[in-house]
Amino acid sequence: MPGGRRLDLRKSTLVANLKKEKQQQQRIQPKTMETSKNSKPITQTTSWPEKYHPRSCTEVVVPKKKAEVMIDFLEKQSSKTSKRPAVLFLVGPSGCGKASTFVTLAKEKCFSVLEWKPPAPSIYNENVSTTNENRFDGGDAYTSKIEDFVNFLNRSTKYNAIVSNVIGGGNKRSRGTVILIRDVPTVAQGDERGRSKFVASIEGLVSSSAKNRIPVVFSSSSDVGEGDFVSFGNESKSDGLKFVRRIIHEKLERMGAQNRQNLSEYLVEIKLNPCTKKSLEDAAKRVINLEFSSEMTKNGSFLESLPDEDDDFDGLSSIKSGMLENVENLVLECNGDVRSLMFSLQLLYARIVGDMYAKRKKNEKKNTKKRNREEARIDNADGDKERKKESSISLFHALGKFLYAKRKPSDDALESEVEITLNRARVDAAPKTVIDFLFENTPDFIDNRKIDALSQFLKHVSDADVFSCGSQRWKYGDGDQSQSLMLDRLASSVAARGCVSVQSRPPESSWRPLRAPSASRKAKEVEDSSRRLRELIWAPKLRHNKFRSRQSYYEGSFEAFVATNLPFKKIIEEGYRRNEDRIISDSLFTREDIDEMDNSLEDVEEEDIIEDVD
Amino acid sequence: MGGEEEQMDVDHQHHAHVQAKKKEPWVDKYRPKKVSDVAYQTEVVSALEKAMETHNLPHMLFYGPPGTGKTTCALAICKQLYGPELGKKRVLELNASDERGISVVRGKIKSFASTTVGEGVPGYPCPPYKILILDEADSMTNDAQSALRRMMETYSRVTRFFILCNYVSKIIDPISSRCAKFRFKSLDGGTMHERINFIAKGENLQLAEGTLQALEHVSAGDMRKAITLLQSAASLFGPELTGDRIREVAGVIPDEKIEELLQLCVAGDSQKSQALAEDILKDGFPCLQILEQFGYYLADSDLLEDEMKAEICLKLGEVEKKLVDGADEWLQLSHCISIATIVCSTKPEK
Amino acid sequence: MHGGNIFVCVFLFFRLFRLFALRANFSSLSLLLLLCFSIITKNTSQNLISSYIMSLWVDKYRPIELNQCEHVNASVANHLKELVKDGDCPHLLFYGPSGSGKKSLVLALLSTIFGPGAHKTKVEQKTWKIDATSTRKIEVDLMTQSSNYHIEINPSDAGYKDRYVVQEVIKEMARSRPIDAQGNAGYKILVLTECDKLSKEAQHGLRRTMEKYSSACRLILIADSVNRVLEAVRSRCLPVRVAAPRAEDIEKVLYDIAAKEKLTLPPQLCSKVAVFAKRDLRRAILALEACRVANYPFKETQSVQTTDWELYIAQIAAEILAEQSPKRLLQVRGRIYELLVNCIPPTLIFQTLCFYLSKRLDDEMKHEVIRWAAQFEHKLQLGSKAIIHIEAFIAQFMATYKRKLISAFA
Repeated sequence: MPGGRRLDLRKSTLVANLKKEKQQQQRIQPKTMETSKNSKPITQTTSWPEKYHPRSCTEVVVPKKKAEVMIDFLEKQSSKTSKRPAVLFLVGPSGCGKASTFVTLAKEKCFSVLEWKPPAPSIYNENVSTTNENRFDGGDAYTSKIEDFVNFLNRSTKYNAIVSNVIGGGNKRSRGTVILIRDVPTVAQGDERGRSKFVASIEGLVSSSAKNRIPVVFSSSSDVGEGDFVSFGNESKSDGLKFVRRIIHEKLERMGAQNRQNLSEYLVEIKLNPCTKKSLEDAAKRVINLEFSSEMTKNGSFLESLPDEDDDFDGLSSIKSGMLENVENLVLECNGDVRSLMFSLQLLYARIVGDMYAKRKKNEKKNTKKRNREEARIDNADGDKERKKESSISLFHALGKFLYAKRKPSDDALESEVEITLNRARVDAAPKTVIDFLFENTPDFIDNRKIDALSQFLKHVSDADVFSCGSQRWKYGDGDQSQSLMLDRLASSVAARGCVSVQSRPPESSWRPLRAPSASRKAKEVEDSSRRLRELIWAPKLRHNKFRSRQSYYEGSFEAFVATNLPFKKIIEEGYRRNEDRIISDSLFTREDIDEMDNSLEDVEEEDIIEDVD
Repeated sequence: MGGEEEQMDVDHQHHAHVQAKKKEPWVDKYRPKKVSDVAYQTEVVSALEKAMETHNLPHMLFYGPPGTGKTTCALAICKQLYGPELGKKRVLELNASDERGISVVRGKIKSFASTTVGEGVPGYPCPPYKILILDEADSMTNDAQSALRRMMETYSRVTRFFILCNYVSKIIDPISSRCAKFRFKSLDGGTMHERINFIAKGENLQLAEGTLQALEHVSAGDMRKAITLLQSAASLFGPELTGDRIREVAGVIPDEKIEELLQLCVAGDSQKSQALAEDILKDGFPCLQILEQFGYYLADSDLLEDEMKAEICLKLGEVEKKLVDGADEWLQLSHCISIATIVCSTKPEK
Repeated sequence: MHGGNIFVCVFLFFRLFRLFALRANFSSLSLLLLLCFSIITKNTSQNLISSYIMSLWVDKYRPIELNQCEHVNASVANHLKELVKDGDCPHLLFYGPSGSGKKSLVLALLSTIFGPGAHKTKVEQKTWKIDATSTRKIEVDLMTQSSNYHIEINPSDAGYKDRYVVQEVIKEMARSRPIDAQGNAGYKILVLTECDKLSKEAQHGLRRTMEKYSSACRLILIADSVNRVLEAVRSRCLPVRVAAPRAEDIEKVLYDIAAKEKLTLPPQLCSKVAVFAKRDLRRAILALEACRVANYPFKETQSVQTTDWELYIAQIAAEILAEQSPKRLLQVRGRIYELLVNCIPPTLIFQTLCFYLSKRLDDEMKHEVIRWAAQFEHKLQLGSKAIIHIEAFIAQFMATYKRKLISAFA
C-alpha cells in the first residue's frame, strides 16, 4: 500500500525517529508513487515527462528543421484539395521526442490526434493474433497487441473522428484529425491469420486516409540496420516498421504513386537523431524553472509543513541551484533520450527534497541551509560516479574515430577507448554493422604502400566475423543469451581494434567520404542468383517430365552445376548457335529450349570477363 | 499424430520381425547369450557372475571402448535373470537412437521405473526389480543425467539402472558414485580371431589368408565393428573374403600409398607429395582417414626424429579439428603435407 | 496417354511446319506427315521424341544399367549387382569426389533392382506441412523426383528445415508402401543427395528414422565428403567408395563417346582433355563437347576451352602477382564479388586461386599460399561473409609476397 506508507512516513518525520530503510525506499521509488487524496504528497503525482510535455513548438527538443517538416506536412493536409493519402513516418531512437513533438505541433495547429499506443500487458505471444476462443484459461479476456491494433484501425477508419480518444481537441475549432500510431507492433512469424488481418487494416487505413483526408503518422524506434540482426536462418520476425512500410508502398503504388518523386507527395519520412546536448539542457532548465515557479506559487506545497518556516524560500532556491548544477551530468547520462532525462530530473528532485526533509528534521536547531547544500553536493558526487556512461554518438562518428584513430601525442595512446566508443555509438552488440562498415572503408584509409597493415586488419576482421557467427549460433542454438552478447561485443571490439591498431600514424589529413557497406547488398544478390540458378537446375528435369523421356538428367550438386555444367553448357550452346545449320539438322526442338535457357542465363552472364589471360 | 505413429510402429515391428529372419545383423545374431560367454573380459565376467548368484544387483556402470561387450553383458544379465518372456516386461533398453532429452527421462523412464513388479516366472531367478538399460549414456545431456539421478534414488527398490558409456568422465559424478563400475578393455587379437572364425563357420564364409589380420587391424579391438565389416564385405563381395576386400569396405587406404606419401615428405619433394595426396583424395578416401593413417605411420616410422614427428602431429591435430568444422579437404590436406615437407627439409635427417 | 500423344504430335507438326515453311521444302512435309502418323499408330512416341530432344553428351551417354558401366566404376558396379541379386538391399552410403559417378551408379542400381520402371520419374514441387512443435507448423517446399519405387530429394535445399523434411518424407514413404505381386508390402528407396550438407540434428533424426522404418524404406545416401556424415549414420549403412576415374579410364570413355558420335578423336587431344578434367568425368565429357563445337574435325593441337570463371580467377591471380597494394586489393574485391554473385562456391575460389597463384611461385611461396588458404578457408566455414575471408587470404598473400620481393631485391 503505497499510500499507507507515505502516511506513515509523514508521521515518522514528525516523530523525528525516521527509519533509514524506509527513507531509502522512498528515494529509490519516488516516481512510482501515486497520489492519495487524503494525504499530501511529498513527491510529484504525475511523471515529469507527462507533466512537462512541451506546450508549443518553441519547447520541443527536435531540431527546428525537422519540426518545420512536420508542420509543413500538417499544413499541406488541411490545405490540399485532392483526395490523396498522406502518410508520415517518424523514425528515431526512443526518447528523441518523435511522438510528443508531433502531438504538440498538431495541437498548436488545431488538429485533433487519434492515438494508438501498445496496450500495457504484453504477454509473450502478444504478436500473435488471438481471438476470444483461444485466450488464456482463467485470465481476463485478453486481446493481443495485434488484435488491439487491428481493432483500433478498424474503428478509426470506420468512424473517422472518435471524440473520446481525441487529445486536445479543446474548445478551439478542430481543423482535422490525425491518426498517430506509436510503436507499430510486429506480427509473429507464422501467424498468417494475424498477418493478413494486419495487412488488410493497414491498407484500409491508407485508403481511408485518402477518402477522409486524415493523415496517418507512424512513429517507430527501429534502429539503423536492425533488419540485419534479426534475419538469421530465415527465422526473422517481420520487423514492424519495415513491414508496414512495404505494405504502404505497395498500396500507394496501386493508388497511383508510380515513381519516387510522386511517392514523396504521399509519403513523408522524417529520421530523427538522438537529441542534441543543447536542446536537452534547454529542456531540463525549462522544466526546473517551471517546477520551482509552480512550487512557490502553490500554497499546498509540502514545504509548508517544515518546522522552520523562514527557511522555505532559501531551501527551495538551494534545491533549484543544486539541480541546475546537475543538469549537465544528467544530460550526458541520458544518451539523448529526453524521456529518461525527465525521469532522472524527477528522481533527483525527489532525492534532494527527501534528504533535505529528513536532515532538517534531525538537525532542527541547527542552521540547516548550509548543511542542505552540502548534502546536495555529496549526493551529486555519488551521482557522478554512477554516471560513467557517456553520451551517445552516432555510428558514423564512432567509425570516424576508428578510421582516423587519433592518438595522444604524449604516449601514443588512443584518445578514446575502442570499447567505450562502441558502447556510446550503441553498436557494441551489433557487430555485423561495425564489421561491414570497417571492412568497406578501411582500405581507403591505409597508405597504398602498406599492404602489411591491411593484411593485419583483414585478419582481425576475419576473426570478428567468426565471433559474430558464433554468437548467432549461441543465440539460435542451445546457448544462452549472455554468451551470445559477450561474443557480439567481442566481435565488434576485435574488428574495431583491428582497424585502430593498423593506423600507426594519422592518415593524410584529407577528408574521405565513408561508403555504405556493399556486403549485405551483395549478399542479397548472391541469394537471388542462387535461387535463380537452383531453379535452373530443375529446368531440364521438368522438361524431362513433359516428354517422359528415359533420359536422366543429373546436374550434380549445386556447386558442381554452377562451376562445371553451367559454364560448359554455355560454351557448347554458343558453339551450336554458331553452327546454325547443323543444329537444325541435329535437333528440331532445341532452339526454343536454348532460348529459354539463354533468357535465364543472360542475367547471370559476366560482362567484363576477359577471354584469355595469357 | 502420436496414436497414428504408434500404430505404425506396431506395424513395423511386425514387419521387421518377418524380415529379420532373412537379414538379421550378425552382431545380434552372434551375440553371446550368457554372461559367461562374453569373451576376454575375465575380471568383469567373474565379478558379475558372483553378483548374479545373490540375485541382488546394484546399479551398474559399464564403461570402455566401443565393441567390447558392454551391451552384450547387460542384455545377457537380463536374459539370465528373467528369461525371454518376462524380460520384455521387466527390461527397458534405451540407446542414443531414442530421444533421451530431459522430457523423456521425466516421462517414459519415470513411468517405467516407478511401476511395481509383478509375479516372476518359474525357471528363472526373477528378482523383484526391473532393469533399465541406458546405452550410450554419455550422449545424454547433463540436465537429463541430473533428472536421472533423482530417479535412481527414488526408485532404487524396484528398478536397477545399467548405464553404459564409452567415457566415464562424461557421466556426472552423482550417478557414477551410485553405481558399481566395470571397466571393459579392448579385445586382443586372439579373442577376435576366435570369434570371427566362429561366425565365418556359421555363415559359410571362406576367409583367405590375412583377412583376420586385416579385420583386427581395421577394427582396433572393436568387436562390433569387426563383425559389421565382415557382414558388409560378405554382402558386397560374396562369401570369399580377403584382407583387401575388408579394407575396401572399411574405406582404409592401402598401406603402400601412405608409406609412399611419408617417404616423399621425408625426401622433401613437395611437388610429388602434393600430387600423391591429391590422388588419394580423388580416389574417394576421406581426408580424416588419410590423416589418421598418416599419423600412425608417422609415429611408427624411424625416418624422422621425435621432435619432427611431434611437430607434424601437432599440425595433424589442428587440421583434424578444422576438417570437423567443415573446412575443405583438399586445402587442409595440402597444408598438412606442405608442413610435413617443410619440417622434414628444414631439420637434419637422422 | 493417348491425349498426350496427340498433343505432342500437334506440337511437333507445328514446329516442323514453321521450320519447313521457312525453307519452302515441301518434300519434307510428306515425311513429316508420315512421322506424325507413325506416332499416333505406334506407341513409340517416347523413343522418337527423346531422340529429338537435344541433350548434352554427358546426359546422353550416362549408363542406365549397371551392365553399362564398362570403363568407370566397373568393379563397384559388379559388386552392387551381386548385392541386389535377391531384390533387397541394405542402406547404402555412396561417397567419393564430385564427378566420380556416384549418382549414375545409384540410378543404374535402381533400374537394376526395379527394372526400367525406375526411370519413369516425375518431377514435382511438393509442400510438406510439418508440426514442428505442438503450436508451430512449418511448411517446406521441395523439389522431388520420384518413380513408383523411389523418391529422390536434396534435403540441403530445405536449408535449416532439413531435419523436419527428412523425417517427414520417410514417414510418408512408410505410409504409402508399394505392394508386390505376392501381396507383400515392399519397400521404397529414398535417395538423399548431398547428405553431407545435412545439419547434425537432421542426421540424428535420420539415424532414428532409419531404424524405425527400416522395413518400409531403404536409404541411399550420396555424399561428397564422408567426414561430415555422422559415425552413427555411417555405421548403419553399407559404405560404397566411388573413386574418381583415372585419366586412362576417362580416355576410354571419351573414345567410346567419339565412336558413338562417329567422330575421330586424335589421341593427343583425348589425353589433353583427360588431363584437363582433373579426374572429373563430367568435366571431361563437357570439355570434349565444347571442343567439338569449337572446331571439328578435331585438330591435335586444339586447345581445351576452360570455364569463364576459371579464366577470371586466373586473371585475378595475375593481378595479385603484379601489384600488392590496398588499392589493388579493392579492385580485386570487386572481382571477387562478381564471382560470388555468380554463385561460384567460395571454397572453389580458394582452391582455384591457390592453383593459379602457386603455378608461378617457387616452393617456399607455395607453402605460404596453401597455409594462408587453409587458414582462411577454415574461418570461412565458421564465419558468414565469404568475401571477408577470401580477401583476408589475398591480403596475407600480398603482404608475404611483397616482403619476399623486397628481401630478394635488397
